[in-house]
Amino acid sequence: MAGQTAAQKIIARASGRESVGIGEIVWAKVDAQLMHDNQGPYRMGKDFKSLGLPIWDKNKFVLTADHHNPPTKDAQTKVLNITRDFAREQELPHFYDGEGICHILMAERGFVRPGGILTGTDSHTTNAGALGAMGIAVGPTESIGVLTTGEVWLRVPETIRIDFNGKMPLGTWGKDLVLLALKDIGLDGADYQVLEWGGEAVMSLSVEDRMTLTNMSTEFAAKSALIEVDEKTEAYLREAGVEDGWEAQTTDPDAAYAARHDYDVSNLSPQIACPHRMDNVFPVEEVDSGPIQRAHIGSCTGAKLADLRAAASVIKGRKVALGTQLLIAPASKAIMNKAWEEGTLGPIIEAGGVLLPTTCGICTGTGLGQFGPGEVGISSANRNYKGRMGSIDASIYLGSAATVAASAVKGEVADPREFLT
Amino acid sequence: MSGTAAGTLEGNAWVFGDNIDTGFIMPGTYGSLPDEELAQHVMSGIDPEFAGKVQPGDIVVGGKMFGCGSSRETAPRGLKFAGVGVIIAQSFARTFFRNAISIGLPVLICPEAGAIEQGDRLRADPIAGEIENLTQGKLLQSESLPDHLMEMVRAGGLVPYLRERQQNK
Ligand code: SF4
Repeated sequence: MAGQTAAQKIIARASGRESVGIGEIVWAKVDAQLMHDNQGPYRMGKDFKSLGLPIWDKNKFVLTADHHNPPTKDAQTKVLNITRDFAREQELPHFYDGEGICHILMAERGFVRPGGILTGTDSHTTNAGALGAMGIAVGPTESIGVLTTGEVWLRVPETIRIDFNGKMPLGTWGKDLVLLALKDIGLDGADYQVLEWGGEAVMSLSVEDRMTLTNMSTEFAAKSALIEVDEKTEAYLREAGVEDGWEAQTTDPDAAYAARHDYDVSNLSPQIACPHRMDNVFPVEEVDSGPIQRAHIGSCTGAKLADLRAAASVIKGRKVALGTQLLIAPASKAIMNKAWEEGTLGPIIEAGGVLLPTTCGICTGTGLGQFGPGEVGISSANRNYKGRMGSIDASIYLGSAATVAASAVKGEVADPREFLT
Repeated sequence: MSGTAAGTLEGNAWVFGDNIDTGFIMPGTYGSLPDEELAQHVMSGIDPEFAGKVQPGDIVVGGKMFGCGSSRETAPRGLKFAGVGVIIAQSFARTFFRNAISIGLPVLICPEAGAIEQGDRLRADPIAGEIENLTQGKLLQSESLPDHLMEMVRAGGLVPYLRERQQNK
């Protein structure tokens, strides 16, 4: 038998098979299902209730109120209340109301286990790959199937392997790696495929920073993403309360990849995605943004503890430029608390940062602090198409949290290396 | 079970090119319309006359990445309610493929779909993974849809399928 990719092995195990072939369609058992307010009970509650079927395993189902929370419009209040009613009616043990952003909660609360399959009604469910699990996005209608049966049908995907070799240079993070690959491979460059990230540089990153790669794999239209499990992953899992009950999978040496990409990062500069596409990427020294009005450290992509630490290392003891506003929305309450206790958050606030709720907020173009018409801003989030963070006439640059912090200090898109030694 | 005894689907081909975006299939402004009304606007982003011409059972043929762009479920819904019986394409965008099956519209991946011409009479067998071009007298191979997914498609999609299973218990 030809070698199998890690994705094939995960799907085979979940479907009770020895092996599965690329392109085959199989039914697989899911390890956990995620749903949030925006693609949740508001859209699927009626159909779900009409079936009269129970939830297959409430302990494996996580519902979050993060996208519209807290609301800024009546329509959002309605969505939130339908979400809360559903959680009450179904007596859900894992309903998180304003606790944090869904993908980060899934990881930090121990719902993501290596070698498992996780479905979620959100495109960035791929985030789970940083812990060696296959996170797969499904629509609200499909989620009814998962909720009532615990199974999902999958077409076994091909895998693309991306290796970053060499040492991460000062001032660069996972965000810079993923933006570099996006420039090369492009939006939709991995449709229906799995992106497997690896190499010395990736393994040198913290688990949280690796999430930036798997989270943004969806920008390549990938079905899922994976990173190998190592001691750092195991330490992260232990902290999340996951001791055992998982089996990590790796790709066989003789398995066939659909494509391979190798990069040497030794001379990597911080990378910036310029308006209005995520693959419109340039090294920071080639970017001239002019004055920026907004700098945003937020979202499931760019506001984990690792991101806040990176930002603090740049901004500590400095001030946000006059004319620029720095907004900071930690990805979960737990992250906010840790960042506060360890002294990471204080310096960012002292520099002038405005603390926002630990939810999606302006990453979905709702919530406080949206970019206004004609405004230019930089964000550590994942998407910069027109209208993503508020006005359709705003311009959004994307970079690492450190780059956002440096830009806030300079009042224009700036190089974090200037502030690091 | 609809169609012929063998579960084949027969109809005339409507051929479109590569990268047919869900925004062409169902422009965003129609997003909140009910299913029957969606059907009146299907494909209006690329061929405004399509909705008036398509016949029940007709087959839409696409090139690469059919259904790319936004993940809106209204795109396959519009095609289904306009009477389209099956979509054949060289490749599909992931979410379109899933959404189509969830709402009970069969989709077939056929690398040779480029050989099909406008108006060709086709007979597709999703389970066997075969498409017969009756006009050209050629047999094309497609990836097959397993029996278990075709059951869902025949039931009219995921929710009716779950309901059936529930009632048959
Ligand atoms: S933070 Fe942004 S990308 Fe992440 S789940 Fe929320 S809306 Fe989606």
